[in-house]
Amino acid sequence: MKTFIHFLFGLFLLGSAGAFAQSKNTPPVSFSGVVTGPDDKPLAGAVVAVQEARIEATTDNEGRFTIQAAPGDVLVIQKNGYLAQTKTVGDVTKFRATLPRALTDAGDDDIVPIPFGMRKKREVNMAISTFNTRNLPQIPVATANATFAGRIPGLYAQQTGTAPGLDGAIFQSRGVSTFGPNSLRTLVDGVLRPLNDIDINEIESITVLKDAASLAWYGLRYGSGVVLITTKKGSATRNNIQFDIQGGIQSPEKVIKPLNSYDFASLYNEALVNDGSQPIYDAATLSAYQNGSDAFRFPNNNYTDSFFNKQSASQRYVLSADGGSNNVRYFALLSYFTQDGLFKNAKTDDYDANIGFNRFNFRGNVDFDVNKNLTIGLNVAGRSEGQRQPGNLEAGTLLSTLYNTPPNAFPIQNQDGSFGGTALFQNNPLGLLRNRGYTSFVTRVLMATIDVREKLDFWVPGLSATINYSYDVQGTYVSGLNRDFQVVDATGTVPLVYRNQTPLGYRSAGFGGTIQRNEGWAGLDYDRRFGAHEIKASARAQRNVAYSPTQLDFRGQGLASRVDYSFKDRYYLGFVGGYSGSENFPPGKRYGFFPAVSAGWIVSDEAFIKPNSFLSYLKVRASYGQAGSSDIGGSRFPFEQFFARNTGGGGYNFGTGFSATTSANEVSIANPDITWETLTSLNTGVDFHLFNHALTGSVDYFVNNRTGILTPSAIPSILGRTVVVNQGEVTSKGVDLSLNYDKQIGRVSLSLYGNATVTDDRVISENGQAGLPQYQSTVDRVVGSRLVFVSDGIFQTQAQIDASPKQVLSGRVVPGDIKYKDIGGVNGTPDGIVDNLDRIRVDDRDRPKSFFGFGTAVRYGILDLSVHFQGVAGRFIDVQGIVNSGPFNFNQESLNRWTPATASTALYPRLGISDRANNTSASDFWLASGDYIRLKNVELGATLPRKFLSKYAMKNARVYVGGFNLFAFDKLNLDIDPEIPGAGRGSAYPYVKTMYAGLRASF
Amino acid sequence: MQAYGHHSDTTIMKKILSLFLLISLIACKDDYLSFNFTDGNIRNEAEIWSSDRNARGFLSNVYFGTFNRYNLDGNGSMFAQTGDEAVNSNLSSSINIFNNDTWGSLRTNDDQYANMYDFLRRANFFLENAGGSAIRPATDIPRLRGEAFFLRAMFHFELMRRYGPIVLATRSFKITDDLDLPRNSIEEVVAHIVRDCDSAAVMVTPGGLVDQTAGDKGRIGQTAALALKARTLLYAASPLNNPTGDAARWQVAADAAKAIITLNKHSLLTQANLPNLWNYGSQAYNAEVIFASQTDNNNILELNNAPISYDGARGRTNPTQELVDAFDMRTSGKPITDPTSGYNAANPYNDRDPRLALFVMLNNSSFKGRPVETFEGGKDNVPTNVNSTKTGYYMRKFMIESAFWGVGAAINVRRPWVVFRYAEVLLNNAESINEAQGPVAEAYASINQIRARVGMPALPTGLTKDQMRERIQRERQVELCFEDHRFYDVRRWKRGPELFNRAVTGMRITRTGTTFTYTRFPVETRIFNEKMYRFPIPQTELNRAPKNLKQNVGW
Repeated sequence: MKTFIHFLFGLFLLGSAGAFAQSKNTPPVSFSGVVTGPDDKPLAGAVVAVQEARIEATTDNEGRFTIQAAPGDVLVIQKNGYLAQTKTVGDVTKFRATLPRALTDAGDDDIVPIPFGMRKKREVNMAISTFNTRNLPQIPVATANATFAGRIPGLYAQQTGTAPGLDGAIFQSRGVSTFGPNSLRTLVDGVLRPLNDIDINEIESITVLKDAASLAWYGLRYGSGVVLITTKKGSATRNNIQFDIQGGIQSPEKVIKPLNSYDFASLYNEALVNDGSQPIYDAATLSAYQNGSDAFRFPNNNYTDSFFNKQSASQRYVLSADGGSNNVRYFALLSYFTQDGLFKNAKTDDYDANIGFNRFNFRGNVDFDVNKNLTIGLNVAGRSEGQRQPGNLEAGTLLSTLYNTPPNAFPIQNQDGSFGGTALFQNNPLGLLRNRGYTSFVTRVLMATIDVREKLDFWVPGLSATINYSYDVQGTYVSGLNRDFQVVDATGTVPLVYRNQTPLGYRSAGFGGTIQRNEGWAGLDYDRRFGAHEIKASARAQRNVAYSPTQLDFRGQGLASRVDYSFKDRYYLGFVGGYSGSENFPPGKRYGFFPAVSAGWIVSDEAFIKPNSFLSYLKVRASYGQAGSSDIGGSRFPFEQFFARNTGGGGYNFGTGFSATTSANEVSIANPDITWETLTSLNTGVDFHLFNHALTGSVDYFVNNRTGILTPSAIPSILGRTVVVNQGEVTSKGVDLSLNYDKQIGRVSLSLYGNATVTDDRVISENGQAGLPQYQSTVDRVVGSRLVFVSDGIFQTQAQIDASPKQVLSGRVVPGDIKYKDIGGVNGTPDGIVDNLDRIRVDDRDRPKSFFGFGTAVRYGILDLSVHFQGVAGRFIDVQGIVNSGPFNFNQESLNRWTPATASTALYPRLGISDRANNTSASDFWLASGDYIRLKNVELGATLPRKFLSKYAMKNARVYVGGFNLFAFDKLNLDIDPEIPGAGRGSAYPYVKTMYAGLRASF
Repeated sequence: MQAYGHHSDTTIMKKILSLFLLISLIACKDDYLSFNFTDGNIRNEAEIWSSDRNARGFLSNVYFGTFNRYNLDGNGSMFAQTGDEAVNSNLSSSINIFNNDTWGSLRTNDDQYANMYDFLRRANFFLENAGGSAIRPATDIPRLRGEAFFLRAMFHFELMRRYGPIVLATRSFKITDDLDLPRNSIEEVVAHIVRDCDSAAVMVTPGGLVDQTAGDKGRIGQTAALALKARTLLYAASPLNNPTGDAARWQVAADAAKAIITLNKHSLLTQANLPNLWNYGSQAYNAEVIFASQTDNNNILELNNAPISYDGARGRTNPTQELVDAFDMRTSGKPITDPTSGYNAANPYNDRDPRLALFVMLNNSSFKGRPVETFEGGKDNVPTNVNSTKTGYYMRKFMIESAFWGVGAAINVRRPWVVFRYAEVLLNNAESINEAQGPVAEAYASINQIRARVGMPALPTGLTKDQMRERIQRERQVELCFEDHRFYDVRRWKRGPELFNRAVTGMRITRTGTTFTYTRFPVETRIFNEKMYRFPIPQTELNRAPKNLKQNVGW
């Protein structure tokens, strides 16, 4: 470790020496030059910049420019649609540069990252989508994931939370092709690292690998798909210092609507009567709740109003610098993000217990050319993140207390100022917030990658050798303060005290979560053009390991190879093969070979089509092959018959000392045939540009078949152990579509975009379905299908109940209960009893069948506006737990329950306190469409005029205001967020929308 | 190739190929992925049997199959809350599946099918391997195998008790075996259990817990094996499993119970010590206990079952009026239904069998130094608290007053689940000898011993066989209440429809000044039908063994 740090310092010194060693003796003079295209016609609008200086100029209509430079300076000349040129200033009198025209979709901007390589977009035959973060608004939220929703075709991002620091999203690729683990893996600079380790500004682009042809490189590691995150690099063509400052306001929405004490008590009485019990609140009590005469004996609390602020703040500061010279390129970043929680009055004299989050990120990406042939790249990044929660990680407890305590449970404070409470409700929210101390987590992450490339042209032209090694460590420190409080039930003649008051002290602190990951890749690249033929080949050997103090290593190794061949820059063929293994599979059966082929044809370059302003570009492509997924779930080393022994404690106790004996036990029965999931994917697609490149787009059709999915064996339990086998199979088909339209209309530049993915996935086989009636089997159903009862309205009379099949989901069935259909029985035919055999499989699942995003970006003069929508379709959510949330499952929605008087208009079944299973079992009664279209982001910006900027030595500055997660259109009649239906209920943080304002300045 | 027009193509290709091969050689060592899995606590099988400590540890682990029945669902449910013994204050408890006719092969409760076969596999594994193991001294091996025989028998018994005929697991099955096996007959199952008990009885430490060394107390002794045998034979002789009423079966059962009595290794605790039978902090391995689960150290039972005003306890087990009524009068020794018993409905808890106060918390019973208040408006009868008693009673048996479960420093207590105790052996003996021979002196002796220990008068002489049966059954109901017996006893007597298919009642107590008035009221209706004599085999098991495994009748 020490050596490693010395090494790092050495590298930094080398880097800085390189950066500052550029001394210039000749003073710069003003000179002019001309830039032309390949046809020698002058090029207007080309940008000419002096390398390593903040000087640039733009060519006029005659291709002329004037710039301050000295002989020996390097000029960088760029224009869209042309390949960039660098030229050293020699004779200042006759400067002339000629830019070659770039092939369509092969310009400098069209770079697509692939595993350990880069390709121009036109060279890619695989199903890969790249999104450049230049097009992404900078939003003051903790986790970048959710901002990508609806931005990339085939990437499904569902936000899973809203609490400070925990507002991330899950990523999934295309359809669900397995019922095993199916999360996409995020690789930052080629290595498995979570996306929330980094700041949005560190990201250059995000790329989704979707088919076997792009995933086979990784062998059996990442069959569920990969998101490649490429961090920013410095460029020798410019030097730039940029500062971002943002402030955001988050406001809670969609929080559960609690009842007042009178309504609550009335409904409680009604529910008891429905249950066949006696009401417990008499008329005097009810009227005392109604007139609020005695707030201590008849409290009427609104906890959410009392404990949530209307808004909370977040701030983000980012300082970055990038640039370079002939032999050093750098990108450096520092960022700080801080976010407050919504709890009101959480600050005590001793500490602040509000939920909160802050993060500090740094990054230094340095590439330097040691000599003509050797380039070393070093990416070092770090994150230090602090999270705070009230009590002993009790934000969830507190939220649950706010949502689920009856309004009349106790006065928050008694007359004497003590905390109120009862035997049943001992969690006083004020006590939990202010008198339970707090817990703080500090997580520190270091991510370092070194990348060495040696050109071997002297030996074999086009050949180079590379080594890539990464070293990541992380750990968490938990600390905080601790105390407890007592609650007093002062309603009786003698006050009753619950809980135990303890003074403020230190919480037991400690380190945990220690993980170290190393990954090394070494191999060769061979890139060479022979006339019309071009070959790009790579081969790598790879090893990876993850250590953690409490578990056996995770290890893998393998080989990866790829050969891409092109002819006339028009016909493309690709082959990729990964051969890799994981420690999780039996010796001798550890390694798998996963090949894939791909082909592409640029039809529009054929003589029979071009030139053509309608169809400017057309590529058809296809790929077919296999990739593996070793991440199959279940316990580790399933091929071993394991025995565990207990060396101390935990064993059965005998004897008068009751001390635990040692114990030993068979843990698992070996399955010697355990193996990985195999993804076989077919992808076909077209990329096209229409109307002179104004409308561009891609369409992909895919068929993903996944075999070897882990499922429990169907061996009878008399074996005494369970065994898992690779017997599941799923096929997923679908279409990815993306379209972009760019148009300049006078001073208005307009861009419209949209993308969508539509999928259909079916379980082909899964164990445990034998013996089930066909209508309950998962086979031929979508992955994630639901098993539900079929409702048939609400019972209105006892006579109806008597005449209907007997429902045995709960002990009592009375008018107001949901009526179910008798679907089947032991013999598969209706048997007059509604039990679990009457549930049916339905495809109405939580995961959408299609997801999409669309939006626009408009620029007029100094103003710009971007609007982004995102949505899903074909999704169903179970709203039972939402309608029935709150204390004893009561909230404002409960007012729509069935009663004899409201029988015709009731939305929901009768109320009840106990034995509610008839009305809470999963049934189609509670399934509601989870489709939505969300206005995810709106941002309005103004770029400040140059005249104004130059006074402050600024190159560029933009101020903007915007909103994130603003609102959603849905088909629900409930005031909930369709994407995170549970937010603001149960123990979940409220849904929040974010309004923000910011400034970006570059120098 | 020609098209490249480069004269050294082949050389280049060779160079590249050799480099790629080199990479392959570096990378392709399997060793990197093989590491010593047996690091730490993970072992392969050989390391279990070649080590004295691990092989003994393996048997210790088989003991974990012994049930602890105080808290079946993690929320205070007990079997006592079924039938006519008690009501769970949590009206949504899964225990009500047994009570409200929603039980089924797809909606099971206390389904121990897979769990018991798991432990049977462990017991068989030990029996198959202990012989050649490194247990030292080797003379310990037979004793330890004897314990495994007992455990195998006990797991089979737990299955038989629930499902009736079952598939016997007489060896550890292999993954390649055909496991779609038919169920063995009840006679085969009983014979196998008895054989294992007989093996155990001669192999384990002779005598009872008193004969175990201090470190081995809690292990199976001879009397435990005999007690399991006696209970199994009692079940086998009972009407449910003995439809022809073969009296010889009762005699065998009586003899099996008698064998334990004759050994004279156990005795009943005194009335004063009776509450501590389950308190190992006070009377560990007392003379009445024959076999018990390992001794947990916690306060969960108290937290779950104490009256609600005690530090937010959950008051789960609420005894029914039916149970309370089963306690005879102290002075007359007569059931309260007898007009001459001296029972006064206006003062119902006066002069009752002392066990009533020991096993049931009544209104005004003292607990933790203050009276329990289950009268209307009392601290332990608060309708707005969903955990409040549903019957007017709370459970007292098993509870240890020194436990503390409020927030702050918990005070735990040592308590096992007692599987076999001497009182049950006496009751088994009385019941089976009465059925085999009528109300002979041996039957009187056994049952009166139990009554005498709490100062109850002896049963009147001259009872008929039927009268004696009725007294023995009520004695079992009272003495063994909350101990999981009634659920199975009523079933094996085939009295389900009569006793379990009816409403259970509670006592509404109102206070006027210092006097209480008592009104019985129905708490809830309970349903029992014919199929419920046996548990349903879980549907998933039927699906996995479609050829030979058949469901119990009626499910």
